[in-house]
Amino acid sequence: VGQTASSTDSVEELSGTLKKIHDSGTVLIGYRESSIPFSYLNSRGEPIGYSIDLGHAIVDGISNELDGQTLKIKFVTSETRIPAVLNGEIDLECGSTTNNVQRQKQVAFSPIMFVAGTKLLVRRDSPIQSFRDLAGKTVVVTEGTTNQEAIKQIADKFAVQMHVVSCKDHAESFEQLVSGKVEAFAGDDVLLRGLLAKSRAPDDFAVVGEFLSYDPYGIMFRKDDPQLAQVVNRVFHEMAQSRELEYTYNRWFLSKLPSGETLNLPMSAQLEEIFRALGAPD
Amino acid sequence: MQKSGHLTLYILLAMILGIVVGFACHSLWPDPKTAANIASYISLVTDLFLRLIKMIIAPLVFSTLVVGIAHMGDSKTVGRVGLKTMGWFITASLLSLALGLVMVSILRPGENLGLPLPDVNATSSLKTSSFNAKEFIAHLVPTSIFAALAGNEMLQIVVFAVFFGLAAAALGETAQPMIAIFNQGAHVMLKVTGAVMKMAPLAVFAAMASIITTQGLGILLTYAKFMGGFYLSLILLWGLLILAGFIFLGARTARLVSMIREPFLLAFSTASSEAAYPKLLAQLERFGVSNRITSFVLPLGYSFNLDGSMMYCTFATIFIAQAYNIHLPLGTEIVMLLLLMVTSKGMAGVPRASLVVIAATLTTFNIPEAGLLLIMGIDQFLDMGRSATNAVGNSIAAAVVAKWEGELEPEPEDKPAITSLPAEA
Repeated sequence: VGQTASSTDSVEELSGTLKKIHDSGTVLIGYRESSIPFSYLNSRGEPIGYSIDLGHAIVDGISNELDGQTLKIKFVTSETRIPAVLNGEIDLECGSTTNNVQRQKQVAFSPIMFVAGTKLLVRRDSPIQSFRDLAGKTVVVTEGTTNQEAIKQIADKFAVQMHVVSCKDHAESFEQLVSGKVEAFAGDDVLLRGLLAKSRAPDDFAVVGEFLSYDPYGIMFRKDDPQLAQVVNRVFHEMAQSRELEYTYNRWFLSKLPSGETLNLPMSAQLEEIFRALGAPD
Repeated sequence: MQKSGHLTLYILLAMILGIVVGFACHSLWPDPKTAANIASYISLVTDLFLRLIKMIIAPLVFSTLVVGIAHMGDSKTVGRVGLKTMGWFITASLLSLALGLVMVSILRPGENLGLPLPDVNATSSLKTSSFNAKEFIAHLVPTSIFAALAGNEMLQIVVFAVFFGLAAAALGETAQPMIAIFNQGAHVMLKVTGAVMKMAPLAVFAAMASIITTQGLGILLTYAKFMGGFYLSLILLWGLLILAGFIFLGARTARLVSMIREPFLLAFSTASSEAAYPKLLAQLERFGVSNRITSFVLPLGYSFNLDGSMMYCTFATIFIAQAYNIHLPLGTEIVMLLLLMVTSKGMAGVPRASLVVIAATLTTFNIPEAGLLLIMGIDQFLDMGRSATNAVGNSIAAAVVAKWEGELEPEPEDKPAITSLPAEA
């Protein structure tokens, strides 16, 4: 009895994004073109990835909330993610967006679905196991990335005398390491794994050390929308409890990607704890 | 006793072997994916063990508590025992929280931390599931006993069992056969526990091996200052709890400590307080705590007297403040302690509750919540110490309340060998 009452209530009092979706029958999902494996285009030009899968799950959750209404998904890409969410071009932004305090002033985020961060890529036989071993060594970063900032801060704060060089793009930075011109490459964990997966000899290299910076990712949606926030949170809790979050993670980070490479990136201890707090069984 | 002693030895050996094998696997397969794969197969044994324990807990709590309450007889006795229990819990909570605060202030593990800090603007977004006192209180009462049993909802089971036991006692003779059946049920569950415990060394081995295969031991060095400080504080807390026990129980405390070694090691290696529950219940009864008291104090303690988890709350919160160079005046620290006194009571049944409580505390006091990402990296290792401490705290709570109620008997299963112990009534 209680259930019927509550679901009729919710349909009558729909507001915000849920009302918009109910009226239009369409969910607008924002995607990125090449944010592997979070959100990118497959060979047929369709958006796929870890974040896109989570987006599909949220759409199912919304459909349940709307008494099983069939919903269409329209994929939208935008250069400016936050304005697109704010002006209603995008309902759910499924990319690789860092959830931080400044952004929280403008938009809302799902529970954290990934913890990215700066790590070091070195040759497997390298003596470098952490940033402390970088003294007197040369490390490469890609120009204009947050990793560049992170490595500079580390060098200052812990007074590690290292030589930092920078390259225009990631491929070039990686080439510096392969050719032996530098001893380490500081970059985003997931990006380094991606470069390794595509390289000819992935086993010659290893990603080492603790996080040198932390970037927690979330699905972005409009702020002050309690109904949508509730659905998103519920979907994440249910997916954690049924281990579906873990399976989805493994599918994109441990199994072979549709494009053939394998990232080989097990869940970080941080993400494991976050999923447990969402109700994932031990 | 002989047998129990052997089991403890096996568990200890299994633990050491687990560490060695885990370390070997970690060094042999440095590839994280292979290591994760191997660990997931090893941990199957632990999963199986923990599932067996979970299978035991609801029927064990329910049957022992119904019998216990029915024997207490009237609501007045139950109320009195309840008050004494809560009195002890509040004292122990204050002690644990305060000790965490004092130790972290003396040791200052967060200062000059040799680790990169998460950006102050990062977030763990754990605080969203904040505690709501209204909801928590409403949640105490089950809408269906079967739902409570099915979900292993300890507090809800306690509430129903108290009603059920009191009603049965009020009916007197009429309900006796039913109480007898529950009594038999409790014994059957304890027998099942005995069988499941045979698997304990294997589970302990697997738990240690799998965590070290994935995480390695290097991480312990990275966080050495924090880990060392926390474990030192835990050891001090054990000392204080045992001392408190000694004041009430006298020389028998030593016996109690030696009897709970096994549940202690179990909780430690599996990082699960629950894993210790059935064995703890059995050992406390062997120690002479009447089942009226254990069956009541223990499940309540699992919700309200998680001493290790509470100490962690103050320790970790101040640690993060220190790491970010935020100085909290003493007044603020005391307000924090009192707030945690309340919020930490909502920990029952919330997964990874201490992290959620800490997240909420951090935001309340404007300490960067991002700091949580730092300690999340090693929470598994910290949870081991917390769980083991929770087991110690609750066994002492049960023994003290029993003594206070005059329900602490000499060890019932004492064979001639242990007659030298003073018979206290």
